[in-house]
Amino acid sequence: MTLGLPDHINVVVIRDEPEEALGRIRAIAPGRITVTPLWHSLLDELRAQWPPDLVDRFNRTKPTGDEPKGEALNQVLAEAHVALGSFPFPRDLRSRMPGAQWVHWGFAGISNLRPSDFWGSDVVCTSSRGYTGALPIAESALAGALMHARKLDVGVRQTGTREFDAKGYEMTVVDGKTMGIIGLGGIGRHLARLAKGVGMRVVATRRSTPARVENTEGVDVLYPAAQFHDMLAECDFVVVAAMWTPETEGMVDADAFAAMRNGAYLINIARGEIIDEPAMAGALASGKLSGAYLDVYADEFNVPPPAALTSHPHVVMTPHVSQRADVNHIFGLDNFCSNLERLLKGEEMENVINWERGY
Amino acid sequence: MATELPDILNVLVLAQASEEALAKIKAVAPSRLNVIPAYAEFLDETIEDNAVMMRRRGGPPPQPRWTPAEREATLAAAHVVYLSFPFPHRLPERAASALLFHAPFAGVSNFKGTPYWGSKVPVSTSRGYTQALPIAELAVGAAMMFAKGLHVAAVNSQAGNFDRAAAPLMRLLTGKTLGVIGLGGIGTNVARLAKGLGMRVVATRHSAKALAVNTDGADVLYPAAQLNDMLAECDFIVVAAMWTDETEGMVGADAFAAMRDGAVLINVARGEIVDEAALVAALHAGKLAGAYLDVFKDDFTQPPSLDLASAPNIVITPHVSGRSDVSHAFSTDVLCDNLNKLLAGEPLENVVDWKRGY
Repeated sequence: MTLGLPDHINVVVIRDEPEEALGRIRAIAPGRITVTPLWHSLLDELRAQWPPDLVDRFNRTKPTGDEPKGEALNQVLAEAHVALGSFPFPRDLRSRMPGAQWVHWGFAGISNLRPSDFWGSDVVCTSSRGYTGALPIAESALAGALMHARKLDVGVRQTGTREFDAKGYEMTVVDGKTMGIIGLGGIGRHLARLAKGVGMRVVATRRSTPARVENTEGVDVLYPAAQFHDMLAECDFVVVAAMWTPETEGMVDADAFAAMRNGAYLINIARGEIIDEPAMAGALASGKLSGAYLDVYADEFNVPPPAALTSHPHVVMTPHVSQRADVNHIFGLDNFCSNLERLLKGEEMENVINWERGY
Repeated sequence: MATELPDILNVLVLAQASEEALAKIKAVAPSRLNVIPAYAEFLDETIEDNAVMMRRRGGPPPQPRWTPAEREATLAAAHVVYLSFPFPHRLPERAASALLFHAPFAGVSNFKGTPYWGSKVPVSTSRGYTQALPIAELAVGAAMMFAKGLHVAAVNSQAGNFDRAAAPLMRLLTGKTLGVIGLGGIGTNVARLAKGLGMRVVATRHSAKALAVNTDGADVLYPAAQLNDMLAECDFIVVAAMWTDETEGMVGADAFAAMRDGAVLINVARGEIVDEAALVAALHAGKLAGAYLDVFKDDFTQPPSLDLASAPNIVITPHVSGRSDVSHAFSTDVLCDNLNKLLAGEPLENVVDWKRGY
């Protein structure tokens, strides 16, 4: 892809990035790129255009005092060729950047752009689809596995009551154990890499896999979805990382629990509806499952979680927060930098937004 | 040295060794080793000398077979004594023929206040060969728990609190810096696991003379004197050092002041290395985002103090970090190595340097 970029490129960064991020952008083509951070210049406008407390959640660095304001700000925008943006952003940004050639947005879904003059515009836009939450979610899933293996949930609860008893710490190591990932997608690939990193064997299923394959895509065995139960029989830890579709709804049912190893742990960081919750409660009560870490449960936006889950001594649940992280923005930066490198080499950029398709 | 050895070495085994382990010891030199299992024979002394610790053990004790006279005679004739944990204290003066005491544990601090301390007869430990892997997994698991707020979730979800605003700040582990105080057996395992998670790893080591990069699995290895420089880089800090005169209280007020705001402290070594009053203050001040302690001062004999156990964002376990479903007990291997070396007249492995403290 070759855009009408001049020899010297003016890049504006309209989200809060630390100095090292700006340096990383400059280093892609030293001397050829001018990078101007505009987050603090735009902050008051953003607070006026979006809920101010929401805007402040994205405000991490301190202003230097040198930020362009007023006319100077508009001058920088008017001369910009490229922008790195995310949520929140000025809704009139397109009209203030007449020379814009390309904007990278650090979020995955582009519905954020609907109430702005960028929606459907002629400027090439790219997104961070597939890169935003997968890594922190994968880390959360592995954290859940280690917490259970090393009985940290017992430690937390004994500390809470200040009644310490060395019984109850029937620990396992994760080294050499098998983790099974239901749905080897963006999250699953990160999880496989991390689990391998702590010495685990990793098996997985994927909907689009036609036959059982060994040593592929970072896993020891990849099974077709139809051989789901064969995979479960191998696993000490089972992680649900699939999309919620009519096909996956309730797929982790009584038959699936029967196929699992006695004493396995179940982790769900996908959607609650993929698991048959009464069957899970039964498996927990019978000891078939040793415990669970659940970031989601069925119909979580409307009903409280089932008491049979929350009351179990080895179930730990979080309120759908496994994607949270302090540095989500670095993924957008990675995508921006790799796309900028591609652009300068005349290659196709990744994740170019198709306004008709909607992502 | 080898020329002075008797033809047959009596190896007295106080450790609870399996038949397999006993056979392994014998196999080092079947014609020259007399392996004598004696766990039950010294149990009364072990209990007497370690009353509080032994109370944790369940079940009726096995009965001795020897008379007191047989016990003394066997001990006096023993050349190598493979100790148990805990162990009877009053052996060294009675083991008149002893050439080596071997301990199934890593830390010399267990010998403090016993007649073994400063012993002229060599004492070897299993430093680097015990539960390093399960302990390292627990340390990394604790770092992950705090990063993902699971220490709060484990309490909140049971209480039915699913308020998303109540969930603590969550952190990405990838790219964060984990510091290991004491890059030994546990520390190198911690470093390997943390690298596997995409973390940066820095460490200190007692024997490191100067700052080095990319050494033994750490991105930067600091001499012990530069502890505070290392701490300033770390998001997560794992104490994995030996408890010695030098390390006692080394993680004190100055060390906490050197740490980053929001750091997490993890101690899987010995409680005495951390100044508990300074730790409690750092937690109350919010300087630390969390602390996980498998150990605390006097943990063999007492529960943690109320001040410590009720500090904010603390998680304590009662010295259980080495537990595992898999055997990691390689202390018998160290003994076998040392028997081979003893027979060959070679220098022994892991012999305690009492001055250094391990």
